Amino acid sequence: MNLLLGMVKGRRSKRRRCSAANLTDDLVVEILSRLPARSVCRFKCVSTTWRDLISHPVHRMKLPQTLAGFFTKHDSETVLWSVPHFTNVSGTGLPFVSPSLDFLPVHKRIFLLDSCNGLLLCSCCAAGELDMIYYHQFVCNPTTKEWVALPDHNQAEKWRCSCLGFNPTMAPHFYVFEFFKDFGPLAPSVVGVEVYSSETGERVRKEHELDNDFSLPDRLPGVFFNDCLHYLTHKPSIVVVDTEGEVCRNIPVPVPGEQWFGFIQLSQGRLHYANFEADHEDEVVRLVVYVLEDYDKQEWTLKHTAEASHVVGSHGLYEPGWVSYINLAEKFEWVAIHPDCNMIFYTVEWDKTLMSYDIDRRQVQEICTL
Amino acid sequence: MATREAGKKMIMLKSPDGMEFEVEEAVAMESQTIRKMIEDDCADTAILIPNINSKILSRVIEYCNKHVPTTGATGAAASDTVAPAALAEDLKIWDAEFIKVNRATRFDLIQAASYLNIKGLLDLTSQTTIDTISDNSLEEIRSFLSTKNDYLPEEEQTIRRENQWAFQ
Repeated sequence: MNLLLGMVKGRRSKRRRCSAANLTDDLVVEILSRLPARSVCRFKCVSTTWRDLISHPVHRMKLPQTLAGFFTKHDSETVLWSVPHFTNVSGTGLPFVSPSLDFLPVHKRIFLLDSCNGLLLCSCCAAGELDMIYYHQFVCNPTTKEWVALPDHNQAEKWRCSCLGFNPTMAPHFYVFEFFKDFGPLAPSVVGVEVYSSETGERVRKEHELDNDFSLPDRLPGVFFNDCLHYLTHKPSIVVVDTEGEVCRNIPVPVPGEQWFGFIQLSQGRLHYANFEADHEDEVVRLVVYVLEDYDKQEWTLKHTAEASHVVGSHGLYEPGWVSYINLAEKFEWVAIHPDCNMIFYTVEWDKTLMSYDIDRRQVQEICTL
Repeated sequence: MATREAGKKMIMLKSPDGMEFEVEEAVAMESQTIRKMIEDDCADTAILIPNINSKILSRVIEYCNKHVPTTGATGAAASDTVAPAALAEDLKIWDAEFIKVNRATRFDLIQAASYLNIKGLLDLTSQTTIDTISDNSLEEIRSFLSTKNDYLPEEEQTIRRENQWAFQ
């Protein structure tokens, strides 16, 4: 036994020597930074030296990152409003984000509006104000604790809905798309979108007609991809808006009809669309996942299908009389499709139990209650 | 063009094993490290390049000669009639031939590109390395990197479980 321990010890003490062909750590990181996140994760399993190298906080800034977890709103026991919370799903258990966002200059009442590739868009109530009339918007990086305050609006429309666009592999700056709507006596008198660019520090405002090209987002989140925001509308189609606020294309969705449960995400570099579809012949409801294989030709390919009851339990049964023949209303919410692998995250039930569904293995797993 | 031909300044690069390479200043300045030395007037006669032996240095110079803007190694002006796209394509083919070297040489080139701060060469050598190993199995990667698996069995089980998705 002693001998065995000694051997193990001896083996461990040699760990630091096995550097790759005498390359310095910086050079190894330089090389690894060109890999997709999936491969970087595989390299962690090569040896302890490589794991430590890749996990080092300084190196992590340079290496491609994958999904770490989700920011959610939680009811607080001490204050009346909900507080942001971070749920880690990466399994590494390292607290590398500041969930309370207490580094922001105003952090009394924080409302999370959107997130995109590691950045958060939130609005915070001005100090001392209890209503939400006076608020400031911030975009922040909860890992580096950097933040930018967005300029206040000139016009105060009744309805606004904000989406964040950020792709660190393409450009270091971000965009905030703000859709607005104000009502006249009969119908919306003004609709459109304002796009804030962190590069210029200014907003571009485009007012639109509600027509075949432009529709306000019906379901969020939006997807920032190819330097454009993509969002689902009730048409049903995916509207693509560029950073000038112009509509540059309309992509029809593969499942027609009401988009109560339609959901889009970017995964493995391609736009994904998920929905539930009732099969009236077999009287079952199915989860369907499509991938936009050819962006230019707008060709969707069915990637996966599974019986909804397998994924979401008894609420996924075929029930005439319910919306889309599926009894999911308010008991199911999409969370995300993993950006680098075939996994879907969603919540079920009133207590918001976070679940994951592994498409390749058809495995459902409960993660936690949010 | 003629004035530029006449005004060409030469720089002497010395490797630690005693070899000397006379190169055009423009070619040497493909290296940001050397550019800085020249701009700071630290390079009157010759520049000693430590850590890079003559074999690797000559290959680096070969790369810089090819990649120096507008003129090739022989000083022949790039013709105005050649489209930039065609030039880029030509360079790509040349790069692909250039990087057909063994693993040790490639690692030496990575080190040299990093030390001399030649972005194009660093991109080329790193990307080629990545392309070689990114889809390999763990064992293949370990053998390529001459690295041993030093995980304890239970440690390996944990790290494999956490990163399971990366192996699908």
